[in-house]
Amino acid sequence: MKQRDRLPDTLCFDLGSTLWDDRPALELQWEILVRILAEHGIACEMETLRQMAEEVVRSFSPTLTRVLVWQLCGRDEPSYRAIIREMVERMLPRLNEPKEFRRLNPLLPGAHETLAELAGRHRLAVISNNFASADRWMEFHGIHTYFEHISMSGAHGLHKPDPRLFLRRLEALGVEAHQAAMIGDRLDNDIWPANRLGMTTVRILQGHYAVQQSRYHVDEPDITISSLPELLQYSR
Amino acid sequence: MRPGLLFDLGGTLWDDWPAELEYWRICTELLSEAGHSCTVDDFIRDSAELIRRYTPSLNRALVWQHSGRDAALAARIREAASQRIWDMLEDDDALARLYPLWPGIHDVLDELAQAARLGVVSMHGSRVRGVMRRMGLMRHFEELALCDERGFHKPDPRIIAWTLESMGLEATDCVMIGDRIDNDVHPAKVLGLSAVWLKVHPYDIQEPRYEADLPDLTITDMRELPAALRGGGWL
Repeated sequence: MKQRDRLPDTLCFDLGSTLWDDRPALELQWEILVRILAEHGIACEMETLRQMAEEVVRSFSPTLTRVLVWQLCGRDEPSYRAIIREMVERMLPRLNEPKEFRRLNPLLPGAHETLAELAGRHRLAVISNNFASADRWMEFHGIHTYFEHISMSGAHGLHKPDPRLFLRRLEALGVEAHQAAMIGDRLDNDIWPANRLGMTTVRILQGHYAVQQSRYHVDEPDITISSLPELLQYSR
Repeated sequence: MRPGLLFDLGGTLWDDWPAELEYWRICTELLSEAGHSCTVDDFIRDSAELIRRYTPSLNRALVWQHSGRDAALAARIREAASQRIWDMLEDDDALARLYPLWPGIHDVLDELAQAARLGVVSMHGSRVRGVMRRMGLMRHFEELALCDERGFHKPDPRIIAWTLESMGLEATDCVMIGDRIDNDVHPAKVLGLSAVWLKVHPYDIQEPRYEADLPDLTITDMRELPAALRGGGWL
């Protein structure tokens, strides 16, 4: 049986809106997107994107920006792919530069201290859709030493909320679901699959997804926090 | 090699709505008795919003929300209501009334079984086997993947993956046919199957959110299925 009121041995973290605030990065991504859309003859303002994004969050869509692009380009596959590719190409250099990455994704308050404290008592790992970049980004923030760097093999091509992604990570860590917790900001992509597998679930109320409301009991986190240092209360 | 066609059950082989309304009538009665007053109209109103939010289980969500988010009470009420529905379904007339088969479904499945291998992937539990036998549906299918027997709940792709493995089929040789974007089309596309969306009430208000939700074909009547599959090159 999973722990419902305290953290188990292994802690798995989401990244954006869990360890760092990714809203400045998202803001820049959308500014870039508006320009690219204009180049493709699609008029769209930031305000429209914001309103559409609210609806996407409410619809429990697994991804945010991809949905916006797909809807804005009238579900046209070739232009959808071209626009996503251009957006990533223009965005990546900004995220590959340590100082700029930190400016666009500032660590949440108390992240360093909390992770340092937790790392002494638990095994820390990451479950993210951004495996390719995760290690480098954590290094930019100087928090990579707190985490176990386990093999990504078997996780390729899997995206949240697919429970298989979570299972591959647990297998790589050599732990059962009930021995691990998932800590993340999204009910749909973090809490739901982790609950389904029997992990302890911690929701952090941060960022755009703080407005998500549980649809049914499988969306309900065991523990809800609004800042990272609160995790320490639940640590042994 | 003959392609694999995997079917959802409720909403896809038969119209789920009459049974849903009966189930909601019982649930709202039990909830009201437990001090959480509500009506079938409340459930109908709330179901539209839950469907738009791609809630994996509509009934679990409705009962949980109206029970004051009391998971234990909700589970007891759902179990009691299910038992009453299954008791009602023992009667042949009630079965025909609560689970009306879509028109022409036997002919469609007979025709498809000549060119393809048929399986079922459903949120239903074991008890649906007896009901399917009485409706004459079992003969069409090689394999049934049922949530409580397999331990996976839609939209977890593993329940489809299990069916493929059990039937010895490759994802790219298979088509998933169902009435839900979230629980049928999405997990099928994630695994690399093709998908046919039967766009009927009440899940016809779901819209593909992005490319992973996009069915290869959309139909509004199961009688369109054989021609649609042939036209798309799957048969």
